[in-house]
Amino acid sequence: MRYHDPQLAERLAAEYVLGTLRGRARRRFEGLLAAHPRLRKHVREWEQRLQESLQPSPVEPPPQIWSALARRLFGTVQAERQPWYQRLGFWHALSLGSGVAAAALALVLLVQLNRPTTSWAGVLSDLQTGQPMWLISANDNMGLLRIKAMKSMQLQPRQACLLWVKPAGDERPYLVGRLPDQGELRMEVKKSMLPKMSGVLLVTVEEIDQGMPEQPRVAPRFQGEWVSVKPI
Amino acid sequence: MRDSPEQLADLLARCALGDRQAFERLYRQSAAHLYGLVLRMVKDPELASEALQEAYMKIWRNAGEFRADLAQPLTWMGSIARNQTIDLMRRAASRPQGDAQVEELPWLASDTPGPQQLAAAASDAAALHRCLRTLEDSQRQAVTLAYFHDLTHEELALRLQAPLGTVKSWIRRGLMRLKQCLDKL
Repeated sequence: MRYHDPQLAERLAAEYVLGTLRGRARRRFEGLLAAHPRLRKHVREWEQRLQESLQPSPVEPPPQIWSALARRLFGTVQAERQPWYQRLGFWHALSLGSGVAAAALALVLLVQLNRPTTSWAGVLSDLQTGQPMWLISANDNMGLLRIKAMKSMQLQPRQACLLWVKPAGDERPYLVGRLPDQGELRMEVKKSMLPKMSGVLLVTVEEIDQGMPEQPRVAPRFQGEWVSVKPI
Repeated sequence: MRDSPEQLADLLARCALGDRQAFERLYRQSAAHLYGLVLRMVKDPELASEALQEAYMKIWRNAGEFRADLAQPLTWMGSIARNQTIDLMRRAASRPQGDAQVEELPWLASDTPGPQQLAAAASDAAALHRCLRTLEDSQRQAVTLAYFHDLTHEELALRLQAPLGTVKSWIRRGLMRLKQCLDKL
């Protein structure tokens, strides 16, 4: 085809935008668009022209369209900027993900049951893939944690994996400590944290060269829940 | 009051960074424009609502692709809304229907102007349509039917009861006349 003919290029672009360029001719034109900036320019100009001259009068949409849209996109009617841990959508996704962790938990139970001091156990798994990353166990009052990395994490030099706990009914998560990026670690929990420890466990990967953060600055990448492993 | 193109472009840039407040403001400022377009294409309110939502979901996700140096924000959003609506119309049309012989699909909006259109036509919208009025009736009808109802040359020929070659030339001449008029503005 003679696409270098300026008049033809113009006409094809116009009918492409209008929608009357169809079938093979349309696909051929789309193939040429990628390689020819001038054709893309024609297309943009025709989009502008046709919208300008054909744009119907504005009509205010019914308010429920915004509510439905906000719910679909953000899981909430309000679009106000909220920290991720206050968004309904996040917790909804979390509860869907926790089913995956349950399978890995069976493994922990077998490992941990024969340790008389262990009362609680959990698996911290990747929120995206469901892959288990750490096994965590605790004594009766959750003052002493034992954490084992199931594989080694690839981290940037200043990054660390931070463990947080979000107590049920609480708005925000609280920092428990730094997780090992490989191997095993024992951790003592601060006394003031003990009443909060039974909540949902979350792990963020963030930079800590400015010291330990008060609140997470990024969305969590791993999560887990405690299960009682007390011998019956 | 409607935001200027610069403000809309700024809101789109903020949407690309995940700013939901900017998205809500963008919606408030542009939804009537896009809803007018969508309603012109589908008359069923449920389908129109779905089309508008799909358009804004795509706008939110693709906001980073908007290039302020290449397009007007409303044009860019309008193209997304029109394409999403066409997709939806095609999906609706491909669903099995009770009476396959129905020539006029029920979700096609009527081309007869309603009271709302007539009232608005008297206002500022009329200025934009100046060029459309320079087209001959048959050219204008062919171009608007193709644009809003996603019709092929063949479907236009059926709808307008005219030979295919005639319809093609209405479209071609109509488009060129539009361009001439707009270039002179």
